[in-house]
Order: sequence, then C-alpha cells, then structure tokens
Amino acid sequence: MKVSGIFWLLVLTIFVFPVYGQIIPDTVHIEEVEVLAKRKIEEAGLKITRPDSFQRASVLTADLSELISGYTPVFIKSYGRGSAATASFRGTAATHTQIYWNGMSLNSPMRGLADLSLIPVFFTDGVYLLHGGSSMTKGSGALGGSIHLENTPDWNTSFGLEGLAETGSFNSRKTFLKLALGGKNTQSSTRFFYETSENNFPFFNSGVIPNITDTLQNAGYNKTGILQEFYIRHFNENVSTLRLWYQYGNRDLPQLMSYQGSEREEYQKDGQFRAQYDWKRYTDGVNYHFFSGINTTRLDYFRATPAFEFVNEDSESKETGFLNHLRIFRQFDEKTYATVSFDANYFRVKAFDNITAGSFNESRLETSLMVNMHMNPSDRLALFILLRSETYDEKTVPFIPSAGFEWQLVKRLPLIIRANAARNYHKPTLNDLYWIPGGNPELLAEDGYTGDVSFSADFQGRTIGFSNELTGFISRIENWIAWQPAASGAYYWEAGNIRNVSSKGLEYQFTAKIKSGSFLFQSGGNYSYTRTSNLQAVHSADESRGKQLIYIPKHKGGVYGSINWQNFAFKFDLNGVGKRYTKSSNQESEFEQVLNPYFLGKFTAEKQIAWNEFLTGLKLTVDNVFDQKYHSILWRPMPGRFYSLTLALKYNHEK
Amino acid sequence: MKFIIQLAAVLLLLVACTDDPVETIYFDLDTSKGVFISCEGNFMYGNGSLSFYHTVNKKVSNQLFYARNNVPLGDVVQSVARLGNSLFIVVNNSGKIVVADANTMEFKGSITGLISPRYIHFVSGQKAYISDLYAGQLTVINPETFEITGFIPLGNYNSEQMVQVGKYVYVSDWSYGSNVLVVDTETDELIDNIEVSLQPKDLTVDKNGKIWVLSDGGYEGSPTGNEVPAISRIDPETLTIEQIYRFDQEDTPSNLELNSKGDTLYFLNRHLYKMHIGNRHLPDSAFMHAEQELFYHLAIDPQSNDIYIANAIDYTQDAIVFRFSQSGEVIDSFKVGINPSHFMFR
Repeated sequence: MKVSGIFWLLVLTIFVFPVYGQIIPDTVHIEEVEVLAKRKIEEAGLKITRPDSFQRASVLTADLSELISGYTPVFIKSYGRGSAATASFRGTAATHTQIYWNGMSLNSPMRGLADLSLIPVFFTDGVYLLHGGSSMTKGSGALGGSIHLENTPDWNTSFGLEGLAETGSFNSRKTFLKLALGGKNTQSSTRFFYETSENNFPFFNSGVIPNITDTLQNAGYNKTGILQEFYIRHFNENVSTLRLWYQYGNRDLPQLMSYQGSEREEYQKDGQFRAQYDWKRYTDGVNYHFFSGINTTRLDYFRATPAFEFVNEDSESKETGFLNHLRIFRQFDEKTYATVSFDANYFRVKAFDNITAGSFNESRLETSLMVNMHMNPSDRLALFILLRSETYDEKTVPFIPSAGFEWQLVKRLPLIIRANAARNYHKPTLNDLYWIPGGNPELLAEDGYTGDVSFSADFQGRTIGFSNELTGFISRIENWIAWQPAASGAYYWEAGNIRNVSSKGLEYQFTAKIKSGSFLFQSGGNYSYTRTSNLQAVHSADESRGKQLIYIPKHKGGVYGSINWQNFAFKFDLNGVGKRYTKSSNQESEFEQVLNPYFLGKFTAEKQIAWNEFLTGLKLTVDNVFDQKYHSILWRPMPGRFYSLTLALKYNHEK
Repeated sequence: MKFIIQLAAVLLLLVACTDDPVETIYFDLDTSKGVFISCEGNFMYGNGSLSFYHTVNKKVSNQLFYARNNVPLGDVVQSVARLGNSLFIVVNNSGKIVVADANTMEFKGSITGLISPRYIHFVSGQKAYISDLYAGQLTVINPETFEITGFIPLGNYNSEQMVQVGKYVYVSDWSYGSNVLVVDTETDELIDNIEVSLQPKDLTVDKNGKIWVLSDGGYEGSPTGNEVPAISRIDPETLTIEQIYRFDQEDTPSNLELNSKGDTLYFLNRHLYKMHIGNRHLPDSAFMHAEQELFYHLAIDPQSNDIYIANAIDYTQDAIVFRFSQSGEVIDSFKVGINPSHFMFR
C-alpha cells in the first residue's frame, strides 16, 4: 500500500473506532522513592525540555532568551543586552527554530525567525521545548526544534495582583504588573510590562587605535506590552479563550567597535499585535482543540547620518498572518489513541523602502494535515507513528513520517529510554523566494532527517528529588538555504540551496533537590555538545568541508545551585559557551578572530516576607560576577559586571 | 577564590580556554614588486584585512595590519591606494580610512567621520578625493596631514570610482545612478555630468585618453529600472559617448581592467573576457572559462600583464587568488583574506 493510502486510512480510523476513557499511566511506585513518569500519551517518545517553575521564577523579569540560554541546552546567539537574540537547536540556524504561542506560530513569514529578546518571560505561564523531530507533533519547519509558550488560567483565583519593579545598572528600569480576576467559570488576566535602558555600559575598545576605555553609544532601548486573556468554562467540558497581545519596542542599534565614521542615528522599531480565539472541548474519549488567530508585525528600520543631513536607509515592513488550527485527540481503547490536526494559514507581507521607493508585496497560503497514532501496548511501553503533509505556494510536500517510542527498562526502576526518528522540512521564507534583488523563486525546501535517543531517570522522594536525562542526536539537513553573492557574478546577493549539513551531539540536563530541616537546596544544570558541519564543499580549494559551522559552539552548558532558609534565598548560576569560529574553514591564529569561550556567573540574594495572602520580596542580582570581557558576536561589546534590584509584591485571594 | 571558581567551571564544562595575548609582528616588507590586496571580510563582522603578494618571490603575507598593530582594520575593507610610502586603506563600513606605512604596516593615522567611503583618488601630494556611497559629496582631504579640508557637493548623485584625465576627475555615480560626473580639480567643483547606462561602476582610461565605463544595468525589480548592462566609451574632450557596447539582459559584467599598454580591456562576465579597444563589438567567446568556481575579482598587473583572478570560495573563508600568464597558464595561486575587493600593484 502506498504511503498516502496508509495516511488516509489513519485519518479515517480516528472517526470510526469506538471511544473509551483515556487512561494514561503516569506514576510508578517503588519502595523508597516515588518514580514519576508524568508524560501524557501524546508526549511519549518525544524529547522535551521544560524549565520548571523555580527556573522560570529566576528570570521572571528577563526575556525568553535568558530563560533558554540559562536553563536549556539550546544555544542563544545574542547581539547584546536588549538586542536581537535567536535560538539555535543542535547546530541549526535561527530560521530552523519555530516559536509557538499557545500553538500559534510567531516566526516571521518574511525572515523565518522570531526574536526571543522581544518575548518577556512574565507573559508566559509555561515554556517547553521540543527538540529535533519531536517538533513534528506541533508543526513542520523546526529542523532544530521548537519553543512553546503557554498561557493558562488559574481557576482558583478570585483576585490576584502582582507587581515587579526593577532598577539596574546603565539606567535600566523594568515594571511588570499582573491582575487576575475571576470566578468559578470565568477568568480574566491582564499583564503589562515596560522596560527601558540607556544601555550605555563601559567597555575596553580594542577595535581602534589607540585602544581606549569606551562607552557604548546609541544602544538604548525601551519595550512595552500588554497581554489580555479571557477564559470561559461553559457547557461543562468547553473552555473558550480570547487572548490579545500588543507589544512595541524601540531599539537603537549600536555600531561595531571599529566604527569611527560620522555619528549614526540607527534604530529599529518593532510593533506586534496578536489575537487568538481558542476553544477546547474535553469528553471521555475525544478532545477537541481549535484556534483561530491573527499575528501582525510591523518593523521600521532607519539609519541616518545627522552631520551630513543624509538618510541612508528608511524602510518598513508589515506582516500579517491568519492562523487556524483544529486538533482532535481520540482514544480508541486502553492502548490506542490518535491525534489528527489540520492547519490553514495565510500570510501577507509588504516591505517598502522610503528612499528608493522599492517595494515587495507577497502572500502565501499554507495548509498542513497531520495524523499521529499513539499506542500503549504495555504499562512500560508507548509508541507513536506520525505522518504530516503540507501545501504551500501551490506545492505539495509529500507525507513526511516520524516515529518514536518510550520504554521503561525495568519495572521497578525509574529508568526510561525514549527515541524518535523523523523527516522534516523547512519552507523557504518569503524573503528567500521573492526579495528584490536576490530572491530565488526556484528554491527548494530544506530537507531534514533527524533522530535522537534519550535515557532518563526521575526520582522524587519526600526530602530528595533528582531527575536527569542524557540524549544523543544525529541529523542531516539537505538544501540548506543561505544568501551569498550571486552565482551569476551580479553585485547583489541571492538565496540558494547551498549546503548539506550534518549535525550530531549530546545533551544532558539534571535537576536536584534536597530538603533538610528548614534548608532547601536546589541545583540544576545542562550541557550540550554539538558537532555540526557542512558536507557540501564547493571545490578542492574549499576548506570548510567537515568543519564546524560558524557561530555554533561545540560546547555549551550551565549549572546553578541555590539555598533557601527562612525566606532567604541565595542562588548562583554559571553559564559557559565554548569557542565559536567565524570562518567556515575554522582557521585559528591570533588574527583569525575566533570567539573565545566565556563563563558568566550570576549571583542573586532574595528575601521574601509572607503575610496572610500578601507576599513581598526583594532581590539583588549581580550579573557577570567575574567581570568577564567577552564577545558573543564579533566586535560587539558586552557589559562587564552589572547589578539590578527587584521589588516584588503579590496578593492572591482564592475562592 | 575567583580563580578557583573559574578553574572548576573549566573542568566541569570540559572546555579548553586560552586567551593568550596577541604578539605583535614587525614587518619590513619588500614592497618594490608586488600587489597589495584589500579583503572586504564579511559585512558587520569587522574582519576586513590587507594582504601583500610579492610577484617575484611569490610569497604572500596576510592580515598585515592586524599583525603589526594588534587592531583590526574594521568592517568591509573596500580599497587601497598608495601615496609615497603611505597606504590609504578605505574601510567602508567603519566610516574611515586607515593610513599605514607601506613597508612596516605601522599605523600612521586615520581619516575618520566619513559615512560610507569607497575609494580615494590622489589629485596631488596635498589633495585627495574620497568617494562615498551615501554622502552625496566627495570629501577632500590633505593626505599629508590626514585632515578633511573640504567637500564637493554632488547634489543627488553619489560617488564610486574615480579616474583623472587632465585637470578633471571623472566619478561614477553607481548606486541607482546613471551618470559620470565631472569634477574640476582646480576649483573642486562639480562642473558637468555625462548620462550613461544605468549604474555605472568601473572606470578606466585607455592609451588614447578615452574613458571606459562599465554599467551593470541595475536589477530586475529595481525602483530605478533595469537596463541591459553596457560598456561605454567617453571622449573626455567633448564629454560625449562615442560608443556603447551592450550586453544581453542576463549578463552580469563586472571588473573592467586594462592591460599595461592600455589597448586591451578585460572584464568578468561569469567567465573572463578580453577585448581590444578598437573592437566594434563585444567578444563572442570567453578568454578564460570559470568552471565550478566563481570569479569574484579581477586584476591585471600593469607591468607584466599577468592576470589575477580571485575566487571567494564560500565567502566566509580565505579566498584563493590565481595568477595566470597572458597565455592562460597558471603561474601561481595563493590564499588571501576573505572576499578580495581591490588589487593595488607596485
């Protein structure tokens, strides 16, 4: 039988077979320690990283890039404080990471990526990451992995008010507010944030003669946003949600350290509005989930040289996405489940250059159909088989398969092995296809093959807890899209299917907790080893074959430890990033500008006071404790030691 | 304590970390016979560089400026020019021109505060013009003192390459433009313009004193239109176009060069082409074919007529330069920095 035949048979069966109650074994008991396998059946076999509430609380006033950089094995490429930050899973590019907000893609249809520095952790209630092929359960295109932001109501709250105020070095101020109101069947949550910084930190400028102690210029930023959520529980098993998110950011863009030209005025303004209606229905054997949403982004870029009264660049782009999703989960019997999902998204983009009057106006309709069969043949084994097919630009992507399993090795021991393998693909962005000049309508989708195997153990006792997971992965991406000078010799750059990239490595994560008397010790860590290289060297003179891709560290890790005692909390984080090459040939000499490894320490001390339903806290944070001089990007300075002080107030009244 | 914590971190993360200070290299280059090669690097990487290739002993030295001065040149090294024993290295996206000793590479000074400098043209020992992609003016400097002495407003035109015939400097108005500008070096004023095919970039002067202009024609979808690329020959006496050689629409010519006698033109159009200045038509066939590689830049040794073609490989590693004889045989090949942009022979 053809693959397409199997696919449609799977689609059909989900509507034909009888319905039983959903039984998902999630707890295994052993004598001393309770072993928790908390996975839902839909998550069996998937590689998931889920920063816990303690880790989220540590960076509640930061943006998403800090949460991911600090507490997951994923590498964040950051252009500096407040500047653009993108995620690289397993050695892939920023466009290979998909960001979903309550299931809705936030990636730019023009550029293909999402800027994590524009997403405040405070605007999320949960964050999880799907690595590699595991992301196929939520959508395609995440050749590296996907990041999922969740908002959930607290049905127990009748009135909650939370405020955070932070002041810090470089004239930085942050304010966060959250108001929650509700009853048994309705909830409203309103969140607001405002952040500003002059970001004028001192640094040693070794990019000019003579070397000087300099101050970063034109690097200030301010960001503000509001997120409103309404939840209604109706007709017993239905939950309707309306979410509205508006955000605005205005960022000045600093120059490289070597810049000595006429003073530039350069900035970027980002405005986003997102709205989503979400409906969920839970019944004994079938769960439905539908959402329809809109995601709009406006980005203005401006560069001028005031001394010459000359405007170099003044461009704007507008992107609008209409996103629709239907997902049905059905249980056939105690051992067989299935998920079917259908997505239909329409994107419209427009870019306009106010200097040259050049413009770019394109649209795209995408559809996606997925069938995922979950099987649970025994208490210790779960399997899934997934097929996904998509259409875009009148092209049809054939059925892409994915499969995985999860197996508890020994009944009374909390050791689990999980593995999955998948084929994936990433559509060219609208810029890749149509940008003038250099867009290439003939581009092929990037084609990925990936697999991973994980071993995990999760022990939770009354006074101790320890969980850890080791994962090995391997992947290959063909037809990798990159921009480079036109092959025809024309002076502009053009997009092409340039590379075939191989990636393999390891990821390790752990968390530990010990309670002793009035002391609570917590620790956690992560480490990733990523070996990623281009296999498609151009010709014999090309020294890039088999070399590490630029800006991808082989080593990346972090570890933290904290101690809580009588409402006092002290925490120390240490994060390290290994050497990164900036030449594809990986040349190393004094002048080849390899970015050296760096380690950043962060210390926090916090005191909380609780009184009835009130909670207040004061936290001192010291970032870059060792005052490291380091570069994340070539010739872009990063701050030395800096400080912040955060005051938190919280009131929560439950029904 | 700090050391112990850092050491523990190193062991924990199994990462070797060394950050040795860079050792200064003192050069005493024999630059009597050879070519300086400016290498752009990658835009916004700040990794432009300068190389020197000795044409007799066939030795190449890379990263000259960084090695001597412990400081990089900056972002997008566009071109290099020499006056006496001083090299003027134009660093486009760092808004400056760095001046170094041509033998020792020791930093001598810089001209800063520019917008987007492209080329420098020496009018005399005391005066030079700097073209600029965005300034809408030429910057006038004193190359002895490195001081900016004035500006030549160009109105709505921008400036790219410059050549001089008599007392007039001819400037190509490349980005979205379609003129060759005429600047009087005595009055430092724009006095005239000659309309040519869209986006004139490369300029050269033949043995008869005629100016040859290579226009790339823009690109499809450009707001200023898209024309077929062309080579134009201008008579500087009458400021008129004597002849236009038009390419096909799909052609992408670049890098217009002349041989030592000034009677034969060379240019790239995916392959290498050669044309006598007396020809009435563009050549039908290539002089040298590119196979897999991309011919990124072309230069002709004004003394030996050896042909230098740079292949940028993947644009993020050191490029390879091939040196050919006039008969097309490979004499040598050598590695230079990333994306060679300009060759300056001595």
